[in-house]
Amino acid sequence: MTTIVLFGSLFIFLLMSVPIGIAIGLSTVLTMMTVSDVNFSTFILQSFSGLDSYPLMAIPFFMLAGILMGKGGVSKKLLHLAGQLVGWLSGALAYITVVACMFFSAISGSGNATVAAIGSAIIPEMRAKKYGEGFAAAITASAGAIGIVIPPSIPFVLFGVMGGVSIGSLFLAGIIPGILIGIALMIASYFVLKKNKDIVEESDYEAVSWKSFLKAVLDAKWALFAPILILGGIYGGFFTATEAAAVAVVYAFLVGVFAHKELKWQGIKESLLETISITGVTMYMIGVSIAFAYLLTIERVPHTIAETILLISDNPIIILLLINIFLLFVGAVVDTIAALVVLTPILLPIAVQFGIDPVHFGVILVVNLAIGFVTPPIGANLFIAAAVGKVSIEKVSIAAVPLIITLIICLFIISYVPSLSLLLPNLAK
Amino acid sequence: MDIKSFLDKKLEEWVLIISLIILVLIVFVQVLSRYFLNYSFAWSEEIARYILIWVAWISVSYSIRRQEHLRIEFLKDRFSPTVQKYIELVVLILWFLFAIFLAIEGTNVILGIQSSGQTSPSIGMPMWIAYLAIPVGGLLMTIRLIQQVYFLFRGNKRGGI
Amino acid sequence: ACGSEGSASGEDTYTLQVPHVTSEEDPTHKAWVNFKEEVEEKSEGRMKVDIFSNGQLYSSERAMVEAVQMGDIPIASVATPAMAGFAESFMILDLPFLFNSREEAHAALDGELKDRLMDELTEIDMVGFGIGELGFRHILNNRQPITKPEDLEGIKIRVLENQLFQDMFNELGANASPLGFGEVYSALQQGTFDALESTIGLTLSTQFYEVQDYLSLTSHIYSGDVIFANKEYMDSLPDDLKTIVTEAAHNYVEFTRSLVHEEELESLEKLKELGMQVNEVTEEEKSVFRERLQPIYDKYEDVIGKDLIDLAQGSK
Ligand code: NA
Ligand code: NA
Repeated sequence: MTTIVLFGSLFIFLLMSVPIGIAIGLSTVLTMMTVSDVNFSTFILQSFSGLDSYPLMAIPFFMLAGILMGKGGVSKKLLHLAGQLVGWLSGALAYITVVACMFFSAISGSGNATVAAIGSAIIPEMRAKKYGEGFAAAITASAGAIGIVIPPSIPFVLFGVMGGVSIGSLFLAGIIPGILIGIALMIASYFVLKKNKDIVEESDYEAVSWKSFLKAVLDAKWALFAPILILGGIYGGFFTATEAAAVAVVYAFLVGVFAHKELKWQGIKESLLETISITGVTMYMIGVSIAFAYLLTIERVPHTIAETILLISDNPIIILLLINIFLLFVGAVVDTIAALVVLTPILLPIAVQFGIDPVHFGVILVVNLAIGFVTPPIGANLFIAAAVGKVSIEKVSIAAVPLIITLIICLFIISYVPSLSLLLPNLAK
Repeated sequence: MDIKSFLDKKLEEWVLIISLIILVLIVFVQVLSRYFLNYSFAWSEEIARYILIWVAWISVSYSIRRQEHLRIEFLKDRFSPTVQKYIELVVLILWFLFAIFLAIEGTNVILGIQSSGQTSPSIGMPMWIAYLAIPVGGLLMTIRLIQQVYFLFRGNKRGGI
Repeated sequence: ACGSEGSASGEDTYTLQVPHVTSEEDPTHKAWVNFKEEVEEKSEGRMKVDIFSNGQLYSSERAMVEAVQMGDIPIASVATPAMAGFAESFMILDLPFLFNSREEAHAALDGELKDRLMDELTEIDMVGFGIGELGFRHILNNRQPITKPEDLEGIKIRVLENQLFQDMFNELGANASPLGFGEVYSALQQGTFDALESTIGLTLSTQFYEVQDYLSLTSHIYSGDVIFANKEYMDSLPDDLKTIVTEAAHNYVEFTRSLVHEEELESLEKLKELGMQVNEVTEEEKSVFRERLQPIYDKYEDVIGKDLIDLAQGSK
């Protein structure tokens, strides 16, 4: 009964366009009021203690670091370097976008920040060179999804906090899957662009020499050093994953102000405000979702779901398939953070019960939600790319179809080849 | 800038900006101190957590003002503007009820915590100060929501940001 | 959560939800399972006990105490440091080298000291049943066996989030700071921290032995496991059920003491097999630590109360 009221009212509130976090809170309170014995005070206590966690600090910090880097002139330099690496290929701008997003992912913990930073520079250029306005926005939105797979990653932080899984291990686990997705997107772009004669016959980029390549590397040195600082700092024992986020903020600030000299007070203030407003719509949601999850846990809902799944199959391959299909569906309609906070307490115990490594499961979950960034109707990356590229959501969505299929293929490879995720964390042991 | 406009647009903004900067500095200085001075502050982790909780709850109302809350609107968008307006009103009322719940139940919990005298683990600060963020967040939300209802019927959808 | 539901026979049935933050391998869980069996059997099914392990319901012990106090959860047990923020007298148990042996600790925690501590819980709407055992806390690190305070000089040690613990290790020259449990393993692995202090049982069950080379049996703190309930809830129970719960709670205390002792001996052997270098710390060596830590006693004497400290040590 609790489950029906809880999910039923949540669904209705969401369809009415109540903000996601408020809908989660309302349905929890409504359930407490009607069918559950759980006290109201539990709601307040859980909403508080759900946020009373030091590693959560990393979420606004990695957001801020990404935005500061974006405003501090890093995107241009990364794009130039990507141009040197893959610019000689025909259809280069697409590859450049993907490579630049991969670089930027290693600085930013958010997919949205990645799309905004890289997209605002590259989408107009792609449009000018006849890549098709839909495609230009779609490839950026898709490649931006890598932002949460390659570390640092806000969803990994959140999953780690909620599931009690090492954030450091999750970060390492995301590297190979992130690179895999990048390569796959480049291959997909090749097939999409092959039909477009304007692009195939025209080279976008000046000739590349060792000299110009080295110059691009030197030019981008501060940006390239950021992931070394972040990951090197964590694995070198200088600071924890949480602290790395604060170090990244200070670093982004120093680079933007003193090295690139592109960050002024106005840009800093805008970055802070942007971070605060994203914090305003996400962080409270984490607290409220813990109260929501409490109701599910005390009713043993994850346990019941696991038993129901067992009736269908006890084969981990089938179970992963079911979980993936479910998550893709969720990712299509729900925002990443909301999905993560609601689903982690339900799905992680199930996954563990079926013998899936928690770190591997974290990667699967995050890749699913990364795909959710790009799938309509609710896909933050689609919205941002459409806004930055001044294209309609419909056009971007249609152009995104082959790319989404590519991402789904990657998801299944990542799901069924655990070593892609677990190789690096195991090496670090 | 007059007082009214300052309260409406700038107060939360500055409180939040300063808190966020302090938060970054606390964590950053702790890293430097632990590594280079081989000394750790007893208070930093706890204070940082409580500041974050305050930032999280205060920024909710700030994001109402900026109308940035994440919503699923494809169903709502199918209706005529007038119907949409009434759906919006219902949403704002539901949201308002939730904010009132946070303010009232949050206050009850705080009174309970205050009378029990619970203190924080590291620095011994009264625990209700940290919890106060929730009812305050709820209260600020109610104010911002009333303002949104006003904007809704005055016809200025974004309230002149 | 604390309500009662009618049953077919017309008699009320009760469900006790019990949250804890440890794994199902730890003595705490086993003790609760024992509690569950006893209560369900003696109450002939009128009372059901539902255990939630691994922090499923509450991720921190602080939140658990709060939940019991507010009446959201009827009964729980937490490590004594988590209780200090609610009832100051519990800080007495955070004092280093307060007890020299398990027997000393048991004597004190069954005597007048216990009554004083439990009385303080009554003042904040809770019923304390007693203090079970989690074991002595020892120091683990990556550098060297610890036998004297100098060995801790400059070592980055993770301690519980508790002012007294931080002061204690800083007094010994270490660089102490708290760190959320979830980050501890990787921080030790990467060398962000060099050391931590923990019980033997937790060292094994949390696999800290994988990332720490030395275990020095300093026994600097006796870690108690206080079991307590919401007072209003207990008062709402029919007298016979109240008696059953109270007895089972007292048995919980005894159960943890014998189980922890038994398991620690095995765990210690296992840790050695797994490659940890375990060293004893002699009584003389401990007294050197104890002397170095006198400033901690001086600092906290006023807060805790000299009479309470005397009570604890009077049993020596
Ligand atoms: Na990233
Ligand atoms: Na989506």
